[in-house]
Amino acid sequence: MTGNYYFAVVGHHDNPVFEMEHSSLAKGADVKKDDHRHLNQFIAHAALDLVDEHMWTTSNMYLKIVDKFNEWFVSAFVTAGRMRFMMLHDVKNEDGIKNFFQEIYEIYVKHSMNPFYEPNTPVKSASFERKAQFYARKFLTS
Amino acid sequence: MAQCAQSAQEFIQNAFGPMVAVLCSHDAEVLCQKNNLSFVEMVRPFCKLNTEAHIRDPAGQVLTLRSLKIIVNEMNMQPPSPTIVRKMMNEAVSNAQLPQVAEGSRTNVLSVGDYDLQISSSTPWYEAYRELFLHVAQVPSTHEYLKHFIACLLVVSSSHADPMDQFIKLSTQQNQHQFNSKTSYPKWFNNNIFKYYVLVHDVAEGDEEKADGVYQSMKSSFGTHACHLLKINSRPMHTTTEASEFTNADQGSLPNPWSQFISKKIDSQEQGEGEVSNSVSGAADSSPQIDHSAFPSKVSEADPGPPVMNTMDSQPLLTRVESEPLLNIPDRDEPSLIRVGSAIHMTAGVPHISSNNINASLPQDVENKETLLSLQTQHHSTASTPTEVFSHPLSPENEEKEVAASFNETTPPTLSAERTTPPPPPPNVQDADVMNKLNQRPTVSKSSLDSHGVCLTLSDHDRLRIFIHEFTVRGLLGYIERQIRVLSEQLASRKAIHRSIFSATKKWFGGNKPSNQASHIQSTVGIKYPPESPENQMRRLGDLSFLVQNYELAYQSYHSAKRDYNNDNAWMHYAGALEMAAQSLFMQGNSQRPFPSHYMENCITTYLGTCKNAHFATRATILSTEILKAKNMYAEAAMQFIRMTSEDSDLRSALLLEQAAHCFINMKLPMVRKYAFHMILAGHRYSKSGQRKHALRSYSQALQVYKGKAWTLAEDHINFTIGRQSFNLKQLDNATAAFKHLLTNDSRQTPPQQAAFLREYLFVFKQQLTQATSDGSPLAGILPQLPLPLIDKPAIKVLLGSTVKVKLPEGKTTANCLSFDQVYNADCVDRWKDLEELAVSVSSRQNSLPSAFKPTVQLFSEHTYNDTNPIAVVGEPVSVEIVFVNPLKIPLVLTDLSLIWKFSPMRYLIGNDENPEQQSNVISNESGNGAKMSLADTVIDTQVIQEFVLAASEKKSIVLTVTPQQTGELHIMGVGYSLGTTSPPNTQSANAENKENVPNSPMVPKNPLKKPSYVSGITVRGRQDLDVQGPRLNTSKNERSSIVYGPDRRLDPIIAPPMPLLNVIFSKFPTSMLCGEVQQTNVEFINRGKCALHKLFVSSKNPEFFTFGLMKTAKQENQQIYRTLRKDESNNEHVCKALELSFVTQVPLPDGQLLPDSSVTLPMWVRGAETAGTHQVEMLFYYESVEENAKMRHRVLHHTVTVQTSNSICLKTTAKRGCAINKESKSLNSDDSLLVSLEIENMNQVHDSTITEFSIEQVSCASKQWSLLHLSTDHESDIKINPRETCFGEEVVFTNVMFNNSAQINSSMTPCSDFYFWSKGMSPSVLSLLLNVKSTSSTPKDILTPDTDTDTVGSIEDMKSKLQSAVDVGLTVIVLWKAFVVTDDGSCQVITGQHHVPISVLDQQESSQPVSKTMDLQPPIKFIKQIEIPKDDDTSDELLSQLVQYTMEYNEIIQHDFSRSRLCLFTVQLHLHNCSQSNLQVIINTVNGNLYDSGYRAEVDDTDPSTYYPSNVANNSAYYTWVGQNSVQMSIASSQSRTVQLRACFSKPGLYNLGRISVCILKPEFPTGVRNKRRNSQDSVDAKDAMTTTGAVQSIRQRQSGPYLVTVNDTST
Repeated sequence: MTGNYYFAVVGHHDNPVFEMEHSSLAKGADVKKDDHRHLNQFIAHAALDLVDEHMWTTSNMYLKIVDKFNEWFVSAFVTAGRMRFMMLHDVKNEDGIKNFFQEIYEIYVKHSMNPFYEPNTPVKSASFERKAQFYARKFLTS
Repeated sequence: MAQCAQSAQEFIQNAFGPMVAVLCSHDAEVLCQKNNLSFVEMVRPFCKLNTEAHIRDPAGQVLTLRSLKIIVNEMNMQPPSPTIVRKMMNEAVSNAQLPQVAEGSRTNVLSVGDYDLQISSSTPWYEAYRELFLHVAQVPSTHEYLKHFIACLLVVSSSHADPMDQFIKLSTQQNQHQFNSKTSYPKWFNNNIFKYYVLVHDVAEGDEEKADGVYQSMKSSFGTHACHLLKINSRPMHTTTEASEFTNADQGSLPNPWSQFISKKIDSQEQGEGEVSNSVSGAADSSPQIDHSAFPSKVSEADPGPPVMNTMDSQPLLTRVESEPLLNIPDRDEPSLIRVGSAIHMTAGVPHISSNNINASLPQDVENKETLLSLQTQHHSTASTPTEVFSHPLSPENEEKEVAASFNETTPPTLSAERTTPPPPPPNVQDADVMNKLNQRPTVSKSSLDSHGVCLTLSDHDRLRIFIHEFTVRGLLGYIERQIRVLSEQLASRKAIHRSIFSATKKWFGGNKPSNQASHIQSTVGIKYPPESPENQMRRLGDLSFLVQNYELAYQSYHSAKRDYNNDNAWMHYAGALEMAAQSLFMQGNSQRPFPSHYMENCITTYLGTCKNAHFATRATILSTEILKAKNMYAEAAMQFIRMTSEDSDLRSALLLEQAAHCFINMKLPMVRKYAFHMILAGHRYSKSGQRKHALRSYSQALQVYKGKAWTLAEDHINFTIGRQSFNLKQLDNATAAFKHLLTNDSRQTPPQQAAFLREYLFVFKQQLTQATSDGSPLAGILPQLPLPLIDKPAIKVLLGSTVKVKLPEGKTTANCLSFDQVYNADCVDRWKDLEELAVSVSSRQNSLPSAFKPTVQLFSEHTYNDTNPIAVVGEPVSVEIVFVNPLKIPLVLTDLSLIWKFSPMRYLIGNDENPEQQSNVISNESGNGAKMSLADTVIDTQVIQEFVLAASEKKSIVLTVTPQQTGELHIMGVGYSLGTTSPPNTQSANAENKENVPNSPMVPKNPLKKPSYVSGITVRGRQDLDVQGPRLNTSKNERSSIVYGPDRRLDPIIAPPMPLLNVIFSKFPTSMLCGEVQQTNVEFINRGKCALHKLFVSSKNPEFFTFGLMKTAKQENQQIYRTLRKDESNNEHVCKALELSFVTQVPLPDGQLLPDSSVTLPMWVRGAETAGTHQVEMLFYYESVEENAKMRHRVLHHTVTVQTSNSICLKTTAKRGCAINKESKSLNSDDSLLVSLEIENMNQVHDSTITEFSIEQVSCASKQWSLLHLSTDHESDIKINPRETCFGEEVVFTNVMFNNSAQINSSMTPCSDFYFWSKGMSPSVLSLLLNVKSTSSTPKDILTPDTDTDTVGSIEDMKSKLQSAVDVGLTVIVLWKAFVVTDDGSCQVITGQHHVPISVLDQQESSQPVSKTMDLQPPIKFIKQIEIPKDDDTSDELLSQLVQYTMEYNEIIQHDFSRSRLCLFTVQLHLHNCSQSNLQVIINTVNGNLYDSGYRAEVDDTDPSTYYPSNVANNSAYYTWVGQNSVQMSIASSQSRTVQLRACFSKPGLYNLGRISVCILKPEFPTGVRNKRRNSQDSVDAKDAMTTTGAVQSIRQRQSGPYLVTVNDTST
């Protein structure tokens, strides 16, 4: 399954804390993607409204697909600390995304335990990024 | 959302109305043209019924109609072509702008969560678009009858020769048109439409009787209900032209009802223009502004066809006359348009666009709105006939002077000359009154009044109104009523059949789902019903009843029609019926039936999907969303809006997206982020459709949400678009600001993107600057602030003095370690400060520092205390190091960098420190003004750096310098530079041009392009301020609790009067040396300043490193380092004055001072340190100006020398007491001679890079008491060191022992003796003492000096010193050596050097090589305080055991015949000598000599060679014993000798050691008081003390100097 993914962790002030793009295609598609990198942000940001609405309707952290824009779906996950994980994807991959969110949640919690990390600030840890990419490959490429 | 001016009901009602065609005879038209109006236009303002009307429904019920609006149109009018419609819409939208947001009422601030948004409450452009869409763009379609003409007005003038004939002609013309014409427009409601005959009569000119006659005949032939006599033009034409004053006064309160229906386009464009000028001159908002700002919303409010209705509703209290003005929005009309043949006449509220106008405007770039406008106005003006009453296009409330001026300019002068009316006077008091009455409705525009309806009096207006009322109520409604009845009867009769047959069968046999026929969709879309088919009749009925507000009936009709259409798969009809059904249900307003929103959904999808008719889908959406909004179903409304966005029309999409965005924000839980996103989408579409202002507005709205949230890419996109659009709209300030954001934010863009951003920014910025200069705005002279590159402000360093290194010949180095790369080191700074303090205190000859003393700092950085101004000297450069950081991934090019400063000249005089004489005003190089700059250049030289390239993401520092030429206060404010990018080489020619255009300051060098490769296409000259924030203060509580920053004045130096400037040049200064090596270098002192200097001191913490020697030795031949003595004067002993080591040395200057630009060269000797390794020696040169200086007392020069030393030799010496017996006196004189052994080791290691051989040149001894004699090679026979008492106070005797017979070196001369004295000073006690404490006697006594000074202690010390003198030596051995060094590269060198070994105590080995210290182990941390056992300060046992020296005198060989006597008795002389200077009690004990128990035995190591303890002999010594007196106690005075006779007895021959004797002294008595006191003070009881107190007296055994062997021979055999 090939697909493009854009993942963002959004903080309490609607500020992106961590962003990652993942494409299961070969690197050749990067050039085209460059044009709408900002569009990813726009869509993810707009979907926050719906996430905020959905999160009260369910007790699950994983909110499934909350929004759609053109070819993009937006799945979301809200942590206990109300950090919002947003995932833009153009193919449906519910299980993979769910697992991905779970793993990211795991590493995010660990990262936020770091006393030197101030909540709601950008995550700049290289290992966090590495792990996120690893999980992206693991769950989103299959 | 967008609050619309109308409610949903009003809006829908206004959207539809009975359509009435007008067919006008030519003469009637001419008659109307007197008023500058066509008939249709004349009638149109009165087309809305103010009174209620009544109509009966088919059942006979009377319905009341309110605010019925009829729509009057030319019959022959063709609908505009799609391109024109599109153009019109574009213009309508772009002209409808938000008024200035100055008033709070216009915008509401919405707070949602974290967001505070400013949202405009209305969207007039959407309403304008909507009106245009519904009323102009709407083309009558076959599937509905709402837009079909239901009636026709036939108009003939009474002036016509035969009006009745004309009526008949017109009627046939209409019939022909309806039935025979091939044109598809206009469409007619049905075959026999309602015809109404109107006779227009000109009261002023026409023949009234004739008119009445004609009217009578009309009544008889057409029926009373179908004809009307309309009398107009009561006011004669000529009076209006003559008495415009009068009309103004008379009709002052009369608004112009036509204003808003005619040529809105010009109007609103000027409105837009007014806005632009408003934004330019914002202060122009004065009292008329209220009207002005209210303008757009009013236009849209009254815009839809039926004019009066809603105003009546909203203000029912107003009388009719008063309500009229409400319509009259002030306007500026172009009268000419109406007459122009090619003009297209639109329906109500439509801009009239003449074809030539369009042609003219089409090729115009939309950007140039101003030019477009002027062109248009010109077209209008030229098209107008000269006889026309020319109206000023500006209404009084829009009197922007600039606009007026521009208009006047564009108007041809001939026309303005032909104006019949002067420009209107400003609104007078009357207007104001009216204004108040009308709740601040727009005031009357007299100029508009003049232009339209000039011949119509108020009664004419009334007549027009009555005419319409008559027509509607008497004629039209009756006709409609009849039609409805006929239709419903027809349908009722057919319904039965229809139902029973068609629908029933369809229901049973066919699928009842319309989707079943999906396959037939394409074929059935275009289904054509015959015009009179029952389905169409049903639809007609619905439409008719809808138009006359019979919504109940309408709904029923639509509903059943809908079902039929659905069954027939007539999708277009079906969708139309659905649409209207839903609307009529909504309009019923009863709550019994819920609003069928699915009808609308269905309708839109059908229109859109099946019929592919976007136009009707849009109409349905517009109507439907209005209803949904009214029902608070915002989410659904938003969805419908969004669904209608498509590729085919950007403008529509943009508008609808914006509405969707407004829906999101108006939801119960406002969706801010959705709002923002859709605003972005809308803005994007706006920009695609060329609506720049709207695009800009949308993006700015959205930016409120995205700002500062770290969605960088999104923010970049927004900022970029805002920048672009602002630039296109010539809002250069905004554009620059937006582009600035792109560059300053933490950018994640790709390098090419960043480069594009930067180019764009520079381009726009430059445009802005050029504009500013051309405008002559005050901004022009000031350099703008640039955002790039970033400056690391705290890292700014300021260096006083030149950083330029003078190129020196090989082997010379300058003493100047000033540079910016110096790493700040607090220790280092402290060291320099200490050195400076030392120098200052020595120079001022005071022990304390002057109170005003501040250490000189030359490099100011973030680590230094910058709370006072640095003091620089006139004529010396002040350098600033600035660290630039390039945040971008592209290189930046800075050209022509220079510092920007402000300078206030002052004259500093001594004694006038507080208020220095202010000389003149502040001078600055801020402005680019030429005259000022040349003045600035004379005051201060500013260095200009041509080019500075910052590579991508680079952090680089640059040094900029200013050199003040006057005294005063300098403030370095910022750095000015031209910012540019790298450019491809092919644009070089353009570069040259651009470069010249840059508003250069004169500082920019004249030579144009040195390296074109890097000079960019666009450069902008700007500046950045260097304002450094001081450190955060933390001293008081107030400062701690709040955040307070101290001042930082490092950039504000005070320029002090001239001072000398010392330059020190070392020539051939060694960098690597052997330990102890001595080299000579020359030091040159140069005064480069403007004053003479004196009091030159060198201050250093390592003074032993160098010496300047004495002046007299300066003139020495350079070859030899050491001075040699001539043979003849080779006396072994030299006496010279002892020198003191001091940290501060005065440099001997020839005349005590150094004149400007003169130099002096002095020799300097350097000696390598004792230990190998790298040594840093810091030297501080201190000097003062000969002249007094108010700001600066002294200056300093720092120099750090780094010397690498390697191992050379190591000396070990021991001094022992010589123990020769003076033969003459037969006594010991051991205190007079010492045996000095010297051991020399070559420390050169195998792994060292050099191979070194040493030879000892000479060994000298320096001592107050001793002189040195050679033992081994001396030619003198005596192997001893001659005693010699030399006590010359502070003088020291040097004795030399040569090892080769070459010239003897004078060790008492400069280098050698100096270093000797320096080496003495190295004792730690001196280093620890403050310099100003006199430290003359550096004998070991002082080392032991305790810190108490009571008398008793003093006596103890006295006692101690007396004892101490027994072992004191006080002698230093100086070894002068020569080394042959072979270095790695094989070169040989001869090096001389010297080492010193001080010998202080007897029998102790001293080494020149300092014992390498073992790491001090940190004692374990103790948590419980332990009472420290103070070290017993008694003189050590070691010392006490050496106080008495003894030796035995006896015959070594004794011949005894044991056969004769069994015992051999033998006498031994025991010589005792008291070495100390106190009296001692000595006990000599021969019994148990070897078993003598003393502490000493335990302490003395048996293996120590110096003590010969014959323990093994003891077992065999039973044959030998001391006899006679075996214990003697006596007292020996100080330095006295005693001899005791002892007798030994041997019983066998053999070799005996006579050392079995113990010589003890009683421990000297200390004054007891002190002792006890000490005891008491220390509670601890240690064993030793216990012993001393319990045992009566402690005796200490004296050290034995050697074995005393005696051989006893037996002579018996």
